Amino acid sequence: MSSIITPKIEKESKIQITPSQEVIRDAIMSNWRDWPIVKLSQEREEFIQLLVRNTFDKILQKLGNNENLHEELKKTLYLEKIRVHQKPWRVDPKDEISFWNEIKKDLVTVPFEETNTAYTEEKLMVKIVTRYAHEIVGTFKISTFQFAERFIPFAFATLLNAASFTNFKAIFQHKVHIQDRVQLTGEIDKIRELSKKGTLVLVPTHFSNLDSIMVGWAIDAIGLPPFLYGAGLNLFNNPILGWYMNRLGAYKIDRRKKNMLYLETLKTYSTMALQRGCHSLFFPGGTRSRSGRIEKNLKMGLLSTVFDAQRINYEVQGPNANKIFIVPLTINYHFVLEAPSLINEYLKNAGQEKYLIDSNNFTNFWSISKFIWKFFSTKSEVILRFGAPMDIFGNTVNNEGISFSKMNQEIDVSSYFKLNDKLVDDEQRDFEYTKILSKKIIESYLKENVVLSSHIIAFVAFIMFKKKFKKLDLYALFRLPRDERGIPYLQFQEKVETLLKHLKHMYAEKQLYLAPHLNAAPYEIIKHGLQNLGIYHEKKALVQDTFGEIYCEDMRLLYYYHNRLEGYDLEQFI
Amino acid sequence: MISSNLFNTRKPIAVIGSGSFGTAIAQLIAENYPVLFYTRNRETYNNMTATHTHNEIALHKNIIPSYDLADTLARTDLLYFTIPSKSYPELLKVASPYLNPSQIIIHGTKGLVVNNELSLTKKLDLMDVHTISDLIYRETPVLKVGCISGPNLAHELYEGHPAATVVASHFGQVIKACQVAIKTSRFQVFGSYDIRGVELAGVLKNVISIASGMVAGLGFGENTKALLISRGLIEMIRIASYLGAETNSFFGLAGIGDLIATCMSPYSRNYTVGYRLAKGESLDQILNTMNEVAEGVSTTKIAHIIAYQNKLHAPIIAAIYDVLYESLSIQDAISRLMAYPMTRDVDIALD
Repeated sequence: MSSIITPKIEKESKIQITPSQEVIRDAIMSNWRDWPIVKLSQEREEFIQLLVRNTFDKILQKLGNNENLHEELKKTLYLEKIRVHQKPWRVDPKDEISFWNEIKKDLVTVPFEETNTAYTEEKLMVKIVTRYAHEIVGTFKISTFQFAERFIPFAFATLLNAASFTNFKAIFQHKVHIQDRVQLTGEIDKIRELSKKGTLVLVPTHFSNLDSIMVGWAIDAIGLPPFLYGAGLNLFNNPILGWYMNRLGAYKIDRRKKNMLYLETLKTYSTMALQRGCHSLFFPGGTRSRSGRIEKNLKMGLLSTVFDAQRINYEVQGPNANKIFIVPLTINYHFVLEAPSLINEYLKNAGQEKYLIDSNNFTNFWSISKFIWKFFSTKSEVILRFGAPMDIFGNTVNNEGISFSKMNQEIDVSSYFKLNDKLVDDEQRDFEYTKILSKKIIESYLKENVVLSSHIIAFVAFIMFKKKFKKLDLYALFRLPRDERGIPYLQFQEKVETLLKHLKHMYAEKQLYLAPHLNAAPYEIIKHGLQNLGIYHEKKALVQDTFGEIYCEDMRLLYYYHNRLEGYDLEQFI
Repeated sequence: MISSNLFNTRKPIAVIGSGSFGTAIAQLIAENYPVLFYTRNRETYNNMTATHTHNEIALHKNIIPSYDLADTLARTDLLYFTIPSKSYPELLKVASPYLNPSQIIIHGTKGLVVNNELSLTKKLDLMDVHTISDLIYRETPVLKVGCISGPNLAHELYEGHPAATVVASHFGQVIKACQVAIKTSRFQVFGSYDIRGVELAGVLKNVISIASGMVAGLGFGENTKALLISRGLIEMIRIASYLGAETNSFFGLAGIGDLIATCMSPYSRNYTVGYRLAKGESLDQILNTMNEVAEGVSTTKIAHIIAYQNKLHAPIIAAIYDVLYESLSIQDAISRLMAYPMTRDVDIALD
């Protein structure tokens, strides 16, 4: 059944910045005047006005009558007053308190018996939505972008060389290339083609604070114009970082604000930006993976805006309307710097559904620099894999952007929105469609995941412990006494070999990807894995002790890293 | 700009499959819309066009017989599939190229399709067990899929007795469309979002229905039947929830409602299988002489294998399996069940 010959893992072509690619890139970059993201910023005021109007319509349509609107305003006011008093941030405007006090005053004095009540309540809604709209929408500046575009790769390269310091001169000679450390693979040519034919929505996995920086660099490195992305408002507490992000295409998302008016404004913003053809970046997991597992549940809110945008495109532009393409991206680290705190948060919250707000500690320049420095000073690679692009229903698309079904039939995407031959707006339907899309993205993550040596050894070791101590639950496993945390080397290698064999089989079946370094002999893979697995952590997930035994210093970390290979049903092979 | 999401078609509605249930559905829809009534059997088609009757039933004037699948699929926004489960893989393969995502498919088939050989000893991967809606979703570009299920014995529908059904789909649009098409003054349509639960209730009740026929064939009375129905329902729920269904639907029309009708009616096909077995005929004999498929026979096998391999407690289904496939006598099966150690009455949540 399974082939005897183990498939050779193809050396993925790294992105070399060759002359011809430089030309492609220059062509894209020189057209900046046509970029939707630039136009949006030039027309920012008109855009905001339209955003307010569309949000207004949407909210009225949802609430149906004035009584509901009145209740919603009361609720918003209540939530906002709590936020203003309990969680004020530096970035919040100075007039927050007075603004909401004024709303309160207006809301209670709305005359009940008057015929013009609706008018007043609607006016209040507009006032609030307008405020939100101004906060959300950023101001992309081409000059800042062009500066960053030149500066960041240079800074990256300098950092990298300084961090892998050999001698002082080497820092500026840039002997170590960023491409050697951050590998970009996947369907890059196709994605570049599609970026000219439609609107891209990049949906990366999210494991680390470094992700945004990696993705930002990668988008530029493969020659794509800048993307709009949602950045937590907390990041804007740092004025310098905020200034840059604002000008580099960020829009602001405030996760403290959970009222309907805010969420509708945000969603309408995303819909309108997509309609205008702005490529966008969503982290669909909503927050970094706490467990180290690849995302299994996605946040529906922003993802659902692709359906609104696509439908409206068909309504406005007809059958050949601009199409939206989803591009999954997996970011594959040997180690995640913040793994210890992530896994602790995960274990604390396991069992109780809780919305996690990213901690605020990533906002000062020093901590970011330290973070990046740490990353570059360890010599481990990162692989970013751009997955096969699909339409918003998960159908594959060809280079022309035409969709094909599982049965390889050409599909007209507009037909998904049709009922009785007419395009129909149906929120409940689109909610179901969003669930389908989110399932397709999760499937794609598993398929486009690139397995690294460190993932394999962490998985094997943890499962070996788990199987050895069958009776222990997870928490008891974490407290395993020190003298129980060793695995004889030969036993370990044997299991690694078995797993590798199966992984290669899965690779041949296109169920996942393997990093090129997995072509080596098993003992070399183990060595490579040990050198890379969570290398920066004070206590290592795995080390080899002086007797050659594989030893775990931190069970929680080992669990975290082992989780990366969850979801493939691999336990049976160990 | 915003069009209504109420189904309002000018096109005919298609019914694919001309068995007794398909005919009953076509007759109902014909009261509201023109119906393209598809059969794959040339003779049946010729007969229908010539006489405008089918199996001695006078077809409604709005029914247009059809023999051309591609044409039928292309001319409609809403399709009802009423064919036996075993015909689906082939039909969907042929139909898929003519279907598109704007269309709605509602099926009324109470069976499962397994993409693998069935064996007690070889572990059955649940990913290979498909409900009909799963299958439509996998094999065609149509996403808007629904199912109808409920106590809908065809002969009573022909005669216009008051009755109701449940239409289930993830999409509100599908539920509304089905209601618009099929609701008449004597036929009520309830809606549900739990398509998996509604489908599995309809599928699994056929197994219990066979047993009910056996019990009747042996001349036992209502105590026995009630025992069977209530204990059988719990086994159905146990298996369905293992397959990821919600359990609420089992207490509605498509669950207990359908179960009662099918366990009481000598017109039910699955009941007939059990009844004739009790009267001493062999399974082969019965199946060879039946006009229409009794889905329960193959469902018994699937349900038992799933229960057995996953250690789900389902003694009645196991007994029916042994009678159908392991030549256990019905008497012995009953003795075995009655000798069972006493357990809790309702213990769905406890295992």
